[in-house]
Amino acid sequence: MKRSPAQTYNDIFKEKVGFEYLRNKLKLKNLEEEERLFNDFPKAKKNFERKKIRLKDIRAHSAKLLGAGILSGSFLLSTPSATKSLPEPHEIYNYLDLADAFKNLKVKNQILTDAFKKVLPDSVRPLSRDEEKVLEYVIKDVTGIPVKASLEGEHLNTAFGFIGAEQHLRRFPGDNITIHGEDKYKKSDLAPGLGAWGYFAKSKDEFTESLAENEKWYAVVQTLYLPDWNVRQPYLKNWYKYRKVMIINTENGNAVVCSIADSGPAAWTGKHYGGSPEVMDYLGGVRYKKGKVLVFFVDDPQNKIPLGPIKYGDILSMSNTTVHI
Amino acid sequence: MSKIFFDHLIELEDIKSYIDNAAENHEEKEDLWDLVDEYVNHKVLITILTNLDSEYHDEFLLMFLDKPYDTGIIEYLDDRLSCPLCELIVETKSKVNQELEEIFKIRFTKKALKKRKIDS
Repeated sequence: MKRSPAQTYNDIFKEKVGFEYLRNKLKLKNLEEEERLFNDFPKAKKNFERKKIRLKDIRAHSAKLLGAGILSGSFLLSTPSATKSLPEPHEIYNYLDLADAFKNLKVKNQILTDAFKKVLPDSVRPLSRDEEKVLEYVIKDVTGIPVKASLEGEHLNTAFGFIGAEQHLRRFPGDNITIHGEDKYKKSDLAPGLGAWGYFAKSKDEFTESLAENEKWYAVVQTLYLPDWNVRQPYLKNWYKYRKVMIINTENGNAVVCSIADSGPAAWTGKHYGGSPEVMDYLGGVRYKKGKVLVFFVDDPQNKIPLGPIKYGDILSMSNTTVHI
Repeated sequence: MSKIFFDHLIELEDIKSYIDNAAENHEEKEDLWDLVDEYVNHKVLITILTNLDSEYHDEFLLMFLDKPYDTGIIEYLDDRLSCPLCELIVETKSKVNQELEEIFKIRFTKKALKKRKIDS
């Protein structure tokens, strides 16, 4: 039986109560846990009060401290063992090997991964400015694409972290998996909700080839944890929308130029970035669900560098001569 | 930058899909992510303080509040706890996962999930 418009409020009510219920339940749980923490451990209460920090704000507090460390050029890790002694530029790789690689006599991926071993720490962590600069130099040398950890004053949460597999994003109203790219990627299915920037186009008619590429090669970065994300809006949201980044699998050197089209993943997933099914396939194969990667902004003011896998044979330039640290 | 020293020891992958299905838009999703994050942080801190001798509480809390991102805190704790922090957190993670699943499952019965799929 067809319902009158007046009865459709039941559906809306049911949906909204779902989110509100969860939100309130979690808030209540957090209040209970905070009370338990401060009742059982009065020293904790005293220390938090003295520092004027609430546990709910600890991530933002950490972000501010780390951000300040990056800006001042110093890194704030207290453990000396956590940072490697960085090699001099001429020690990163033999330029004869690189020349051979350009003539396709050597595998460029190998040159890249060997260089990473000399610079990257064993476990993932935010990199120091010096480490980032060395890597920018190496990546540009080998791929020919200029990359930056900081671009126009913006810096990602971390340039070195774990990537996880994401689902396809809805590109326009009415989009569905049957019209979504190659068959081998359809089992990844569509994400239940929209990406952080909504639909790519308002309708199928307005959906362009360029927008299709943005979804196909999309990346997810943790913009929500940027220290100034909430205070510099809408500038940051616009700046990050479809911003090009290069993602490199540090294990095999496979690299893809991607477009940022969603925000996440949550900190408690153990991952720092996400990639579309196509991105993940190129980085490590169709079964690749999680791995260590480097993520740098692509410095492409004229929008000339295409999205998609880096073809190591098509080197644009080799203009690095010195590295300034 | 954003990092808490024990982040890499916590992975709640199942909860992610519950939230993906519960949130109507990205703002709601991030709201729930933050609340889960806060819950995890409470639970881990309580676990550490429960297992750490009270004479070290002040020192640990100062280190945590000064450098919440510093993984060197793990070494500090491992030297003072009866078992390594990563083992303690495995147990906490499992409990947190179970408690959060109980909350999320109340809302999302199979019927509701089926309805969402049909609607989309």
